[in-house]
Amino acid sequence: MPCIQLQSSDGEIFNVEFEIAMCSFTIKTMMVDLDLEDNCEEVVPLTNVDSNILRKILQWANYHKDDPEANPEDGKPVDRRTDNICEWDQEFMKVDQQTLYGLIKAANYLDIRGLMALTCKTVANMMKGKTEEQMRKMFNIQNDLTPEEEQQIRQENEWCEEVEIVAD
Amino acid sequence: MASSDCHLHINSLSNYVLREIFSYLPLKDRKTAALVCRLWEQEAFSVPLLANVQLCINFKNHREAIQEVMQNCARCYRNVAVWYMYPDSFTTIVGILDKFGTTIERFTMNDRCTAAQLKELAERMPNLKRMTTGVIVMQDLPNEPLEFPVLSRLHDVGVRFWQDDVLESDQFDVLRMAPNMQRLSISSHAYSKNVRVFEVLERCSNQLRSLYLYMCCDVFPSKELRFEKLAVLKLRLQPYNNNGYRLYQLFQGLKELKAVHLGFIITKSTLAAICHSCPKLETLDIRTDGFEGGALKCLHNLPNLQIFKTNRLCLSSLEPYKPFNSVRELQFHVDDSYFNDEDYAANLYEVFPNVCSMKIITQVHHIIVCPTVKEQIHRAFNYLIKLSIIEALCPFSLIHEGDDPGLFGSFCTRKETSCTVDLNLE
Repeated sequence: MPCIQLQSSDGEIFNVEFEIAMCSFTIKTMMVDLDLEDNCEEVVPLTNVDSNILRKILQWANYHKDDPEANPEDGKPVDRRTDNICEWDQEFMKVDQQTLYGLIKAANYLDIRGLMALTCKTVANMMKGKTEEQMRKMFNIQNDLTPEEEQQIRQENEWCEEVEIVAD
Repeated sequence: MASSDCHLHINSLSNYVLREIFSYLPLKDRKTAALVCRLWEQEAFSVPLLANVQLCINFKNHREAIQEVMQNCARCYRNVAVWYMYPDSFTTIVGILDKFGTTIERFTMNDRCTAAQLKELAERMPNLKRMTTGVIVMQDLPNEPLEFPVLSRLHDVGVRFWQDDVLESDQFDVLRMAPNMQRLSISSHAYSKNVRVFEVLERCSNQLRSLYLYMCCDVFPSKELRFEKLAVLKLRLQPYNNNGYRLYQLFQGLKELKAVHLGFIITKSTLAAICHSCPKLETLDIRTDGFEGGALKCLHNLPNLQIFKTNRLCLSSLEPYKPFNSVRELQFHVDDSYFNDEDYAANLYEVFPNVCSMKIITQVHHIIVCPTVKEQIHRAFNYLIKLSIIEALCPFSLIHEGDDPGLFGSFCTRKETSCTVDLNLE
C-alpha cells in the first residue's frame, strides 16, 4: 500500500495510506500539482493542522475510506438534514468545543467535505431549539447588539417566512 | 506542545464556516441565532442563506413600522412578497427596492399595481428570476407601450388582470420584459376576447415549458399555437363550455407534455385524444361528469402515469379492470353513494394496486363518511403510506393545489380536515 508522509504544524510526521490522504481535496490537488503521485519520499507539511487534530482526522478518514465520493456538482440539492448522523460519527463527535472547532478549521482547510458536513451539523445541532440566551451561554458569546438593533432584528424576523428553494 | 488553536472560539472560525453551520438550521433557529450577536445576525441572514427566506411586507398590519424598519434594514433579501397596498405604500416599496432590489430573485405582489408602477419596480430588480403580480391599466396614460426594462434572467412570470386587461391596453409588454420566459401564468378576471394574450402565447410558444391559463374565454385558439417544449399545462377556461375539437388540436402538438391539469369538465373523446397525443404524461388531473362504460381505459396509453387526479371515479369507467401499475398517487372526490358499495375500495385496489399516496375529497356534509372510508381504504390498499381526507366546497378546487395562494386562492375555499393519517404509525 503506497503511503505519503504528512507533517503536522507541531512537527509530528504521519505515515498515511495514499487512499486515505486523498479524502482531502487540498492534498489531492497538491499531489497532482506537484507531481508527487509516484514519489512517496516527499513530506507534505500541513502548517495549519496540529498533531491532535490530524490524528483525529486520519481516524475519521480511515473509517470512511470506502464511502462513495460526494460530487457537489451533480446538481442534487445538498442534504441539509442534521438527524442522519451515523452512530460511529456521533461517537466520534463526542469531543470538547476546542477540538470540534479545530476539526472544522482543518476540514475546511484540507477540504474534506464529509467531515466538514459532519462537524457543521454537530454545531448546528447544538444550536437547534435554543433561545438566544442559551446559545450565548453555550458558545460563550457577548451580546454586542444595542436594544434598538435587537428590536429591528425581532421585527424583521417576524416578517420572514421560510419558502422552498426552487430549482431554476 | 503549544498550539495556536488552543483558544478557539466559535466566532474565530471564518465567516464562511459560520454560514456553513447556519445553513443546517431551519429558519426558526436562524432567527434566534440572529439575536445572539452582530456577527451571527450578518451570517444567519447572509445572501446565500436568504434563498429560502421570504420577506413578507404587509402594509395592512404594519403600515407605520414598515417604513422605519426597512430604512434600517441591512439584509439583502432575495424573495419579497407584498401584501395589501395603500395608495401611499408604493413609495415605500420603491424605497425598499432601492436598497436591495438588485439581489431580489423572486417578487410577488399579492395586491395590484398599475403597469407604470410595475415598470418602476422591474427597473429596480435587474436580476429577477420569478415574478407574480396583479396589473391594472393606468387610465391617464397614452395608449402605447411603456419602456419596460429587459430582465434577461426572468423566466417565470405570473400576471393577473381585473376588469381592464392590461395586455389589451398595450401598456404592458410582458415579452419585452421577459424575453427568456419559460413559465407563464395568466389569470384574468376580464371578460375580453383576450386577443393580446393569444398574441403573447404565439410569440413565446416555442420557449414555454410551463403554462397556466385561467380566464374567461370560450375559444382557445389552438391552431396557431405549437408548444413544442411544453411540459406542464394548467387550463381553466370558461367552465363547461370548451370546444372539444380545439382541445384536440391543442393536445396534438404537445408531445413533450408531462403534466396536465384541466379545471373544466372534459368529454370522453377529449380524454382519449389527450392520452393518445401525449404519451409522456406523468400527471393527469381532470374533471369529468363521472364517465361510465370504460371511459378511462385510454389511460393505458400512458405508461408513465404516476399521478392521477379526478373529481369522480366511477368503477364502471374503469371496466374492464386492468391494473394501472405505474400509478403511485391517486386523488378523487367521493359522495355517499361510493362507500355504500362495500366492495368499492377493494375493486379500486384491483385497478390501482401500487398507490402509496391517496387523497379523498368529500363535500363538507359528507365528512361523516370518514371513518368508513378510512377503514375500507386502509384494509384494501397494501402499499398505501399516506391517506388524506379533505373537505372541499367545490369540485374544481384541486386544480389550485400547489399554486400561489395569492394568485388563485380566491377561487374556492378549501379546508384541510384533521383526517390525514399516516398508516405506518397506526
